[in-house]
Amino acid sequence: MERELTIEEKTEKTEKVEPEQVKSSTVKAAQIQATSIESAHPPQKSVLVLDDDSSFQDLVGSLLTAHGYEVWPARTAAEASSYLAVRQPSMLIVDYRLPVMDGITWISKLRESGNNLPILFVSGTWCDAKTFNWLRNILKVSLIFRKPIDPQLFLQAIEDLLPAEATVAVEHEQRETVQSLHSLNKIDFSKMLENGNYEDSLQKLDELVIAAGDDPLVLKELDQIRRKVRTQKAVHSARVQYITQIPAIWRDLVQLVVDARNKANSNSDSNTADHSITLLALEAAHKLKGTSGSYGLAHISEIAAELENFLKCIDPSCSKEEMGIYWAEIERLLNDGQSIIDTLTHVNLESADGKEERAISLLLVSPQDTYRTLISHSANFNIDVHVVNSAAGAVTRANSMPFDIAVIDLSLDPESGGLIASLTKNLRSIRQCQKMPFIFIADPSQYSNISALIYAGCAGLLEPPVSVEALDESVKSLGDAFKHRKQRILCVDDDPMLTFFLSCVMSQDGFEVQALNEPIHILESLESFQPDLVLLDVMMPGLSGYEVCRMLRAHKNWSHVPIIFLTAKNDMDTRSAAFQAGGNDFLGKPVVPEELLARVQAHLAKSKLEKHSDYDDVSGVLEWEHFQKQAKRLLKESNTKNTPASLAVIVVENYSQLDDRHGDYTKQQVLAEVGELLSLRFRTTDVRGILKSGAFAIVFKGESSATSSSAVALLKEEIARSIFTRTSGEHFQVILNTAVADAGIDGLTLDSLLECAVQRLAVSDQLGNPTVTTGDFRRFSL
Amino acid sequence: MNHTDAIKNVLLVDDDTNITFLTKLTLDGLTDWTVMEASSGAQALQIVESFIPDLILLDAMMPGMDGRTTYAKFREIPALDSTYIIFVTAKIQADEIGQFCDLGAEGVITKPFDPMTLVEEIERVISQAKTARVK
Repeated sequence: MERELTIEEKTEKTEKVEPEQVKSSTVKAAQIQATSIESAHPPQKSVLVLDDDSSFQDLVGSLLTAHGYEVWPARTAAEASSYLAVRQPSMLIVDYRLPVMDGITWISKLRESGNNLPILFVSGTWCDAKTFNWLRNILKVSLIFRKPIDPQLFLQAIEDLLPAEATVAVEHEQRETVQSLHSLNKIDFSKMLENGNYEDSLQKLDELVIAAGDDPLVLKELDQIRRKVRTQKAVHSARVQYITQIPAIWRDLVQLVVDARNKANSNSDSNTADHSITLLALEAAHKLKGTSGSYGLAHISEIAAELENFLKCIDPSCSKEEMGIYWAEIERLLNDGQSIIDTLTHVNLESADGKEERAISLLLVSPQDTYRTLISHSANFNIDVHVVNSAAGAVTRANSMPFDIAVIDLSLDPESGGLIASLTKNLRSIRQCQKMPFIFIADPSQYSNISALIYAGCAGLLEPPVSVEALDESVKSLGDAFKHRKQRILCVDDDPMLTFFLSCVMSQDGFEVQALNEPIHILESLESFQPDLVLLDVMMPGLSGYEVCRMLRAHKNWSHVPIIFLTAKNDMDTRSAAFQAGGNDFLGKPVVPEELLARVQAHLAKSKLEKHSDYDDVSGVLEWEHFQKQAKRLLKESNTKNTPASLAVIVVENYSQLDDRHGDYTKQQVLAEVGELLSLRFRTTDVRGILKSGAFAIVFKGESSATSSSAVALLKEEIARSIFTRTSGEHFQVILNTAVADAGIDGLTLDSLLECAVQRLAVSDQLGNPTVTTGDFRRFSL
Repeated sequence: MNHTDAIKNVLLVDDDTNITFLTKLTLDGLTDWTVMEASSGAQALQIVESFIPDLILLDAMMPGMDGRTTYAKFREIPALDSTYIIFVTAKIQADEIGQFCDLGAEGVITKPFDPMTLVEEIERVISQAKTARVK
C-alpha cells in the first residue's frame, strides 16, 4: 500500500534497510550516530512488525524504539518474507488481517519452513476457540493480543519475551531529540486517547507545534495527528450516542427471535412453517453485527455474528433435535448479549456522570464546507452543531437523532424553487421536530421576499458568513421557545443503574429525562426541571417513595403532577399503600420498557386532557379559548413594545356544503389537512387557532400586514394546488378565502382586528354571501 | 501518488443511518472529500442526478432496491463511468466477494470496519482492483 511514511519509518528504513537512499541531512546525522552506537554495543534486539495498519505501526514503532528496540515495519506478508531472507529479527509481531495473504497463513508457511522465532499475534477481532488453539498449540505463537492494545501491557509482554538492553535504551533516547520527543509524545497521546482525554491531547499538540519551530516534516505530521485526534473525538461522541440506542435495537432483535421461535415451535408438526420472521431476525442480527462492530463495540458485534450463524441454521428441513440444539444456543447468546448490554450501559453511566447542562443540538444545512469548522468551535457555547450538506441528508439525520433547532442556508436552493419549502415541511413532519424553529442563512440583498421566509417558518435570519458567536446569539434570541419541546420526566431512584436505564429508554422515545438519586433533593429538582411526570421508587434510603409522594400532593405546584411508582415488591399491601399515598399508577420491577412507555404516555395524555386540552382534536391548532388567550398576550406585548403584529383570518370556501358535495366526514378531513399545514408552515412563534368550523386565524409576531398577507397568499396557493382524496377514492379541491388586519392600523385588540379582517373577507367574497360574519366571533368573544 | 488523491466527491448508500452517519463523520474528519448520504438505492439515484461522486460506498443488503440492483442502475449512468464503486457488506464468504467483483465493482469492504482506518481500506481496495485489471 502506498502512503505517506512517518518520520520514524523513514529514518528506520534508511537506517536499517536502504542506507544508500538517505536524503535528509538530519536523518543522515542520526544514522551515523546510530551506527556508532550499534558498533559500540552488543547487537540491538530487533522486532519485525507485520501490519498494514499504519497507525498501529506508528504506535508500536515509537513505543519500541523508545525502549531500545530496533523496529522493522512490513505491510504485507511478501514484504516481511523479503526482510527475513536477508536479516534475522529477535521476534515477530504479526497482524491477522492483511492484504493478499493473512497473518495466520503467513505464520503457517513460516513454521513449515522451519523458522521458530517467537511470534506475538495481534488481531482486531476475537479469535474463536479453534483458531486460538491452532495458533497457540500448532503454530506455537507465544502470545495473542487483541486490538486495541494497551501500550504498557504490550511493552511488558515483549520485554518478558525479550529483555531489552537497558544501556542501549538510554543512549538511544538521547540520540535524536526531535525524534524521541516525538515518539514519547505519541505514546502519551495514545494513553490520553484511551482515557478519552481529547482536549488535553489537542492542547499538547499545540505546545508541540510551537516546540517544533518551522520543521515542515514535523509540522505536517503534527497536523495529521491533530486531524486524527479530532476525528477520534468525534467518533467517541458518536459511539456514546449510539450506545444509548443499543438497548432499543437489541430489544427489537430479541423480540424478533422470540417471535421466530414461537412460530417455529407452533408449526413444528407441519412442514409449512412460516420462515419469514426468522429471516427478519437474521437480517436484524446481521445489521447489528456490522453497525455495532464499526462503532467499536466488538463484543456486541461478536454476539450478533454468532446469533446470525445459528439463525441461518434454522431451516424448515431441520430435524426436531437439531432445532432444539440451535434454539438452546440462541437462547444462550441472547442471555450473553443482554449481560453485555447491561455492563455497557453501566460503563457508559460513569462517563455520563458529572455531565453539564445539556447542549443545544443544532442541525446546520448548508452546501458550504466552511461551516464544518463551526463544529469544533461551538463547544464553548454549549451548542452541539451537526452539519449536513443536502436537504435529503438533513431529513435523514433529523430522523435518526433529535435536534432543537435547524439552521438552513438558502444558498442550498439558488433558484429559490421549492427545495426550502419542502425541506422545512419535511422536517416539521418528523414527530420529534414538530416544534422545531428554523433559522435561515441568507444574504439580505438576494432574499427580499420576507413573506416567503416567514411562510417557510423562518424564526431568525443570519447573514453569511456565519460565525459561531452570531449563531449563539441567534439561538439565544429564540429564548425558551424550543426548550419545552420535549415532555420532561423526573426519575427518582437511589439506584443510578436503574435511573440510567430509564433515561436510555425514555430519551429514545423523545422524552427529556432527569435522574435524581437522592430523594431528599426532590423539591429543588422539581423547581429546576419542571417535569410533566414523576417516576418514583418506593424503597429508598432516607425518604421513602410514599413520603415523597405525600409531600408532592401537599405542595400547591405539584399536587396534580402524575406520579408512577416503581417497586420490586408487587403485593397487595404495597399497591394499596402506593395509591393511598396519592400515586397515579404502579409498575413492578424489573421494568419492561414497552410497558413503562405505554403507561407514561397514557398518564401524560390523561393529565393533558384534564388540565389543558388547548388544541382542537381535529385540526391540531389551538382552540378558540386558548387561541384568544395567547393571541391577546401577543398583541399586548407588541403594543407595549411598539413592534408590528398582524392577524389573518382563513376561511374554507363553501365549507358548510362540503359534506353534501363530497360525502360524509369530508369536513373533518379538510379541517385536519388545513390545520396540519398551518402547523407545518409559518414560524413556531406565530399563534394559530380555530375560530369555528372551517375558519382559522393566525397572529404574526413582529410582522405587519404587508408581509403576512403575502405569506398567507402562499398558504392559499399551496392549498389550491393540493388535491384531497376521499377514502372512496374521489378527488376534490378546496379554496381558502383570506383577509389580513394590521395591529398598528386596523385596531389594537383581538376583537377589533378580527372584526376588521372579517369585514374585508365579506367584501372580497365575490358571491356576496359571506361564510363567516362578525357576529360569529362576537358570540365567541363574549 | 495515492489512488484516493483523485477523489473529491463521495456518496454513501446504506439504509442504516447509524452507519452512514459514522462513515461521514470519519471521512469529514480525515479527508477533504465532500460526502453525501443516501438511505436507499432510490434516493442515491436521485442524488447522482446532480452530484457526481468519484467513489460510491454501497451497502449490499438494503430493503427495497438492494445493492446489486442499485449497482446495475449506477452502471447504466454514463456520468458514473469513472466512479469507483465499493460494496460494503457484513457477509464475508469469499465467493460472495468474488461475485461482487465479477459484477465489475472495485471491491468489497466488510462490516464491521474500523472507521479510523477506512480511508486506508478504500485505498487498498482500489489499488488491488487496479493491479487486478492490469493483469
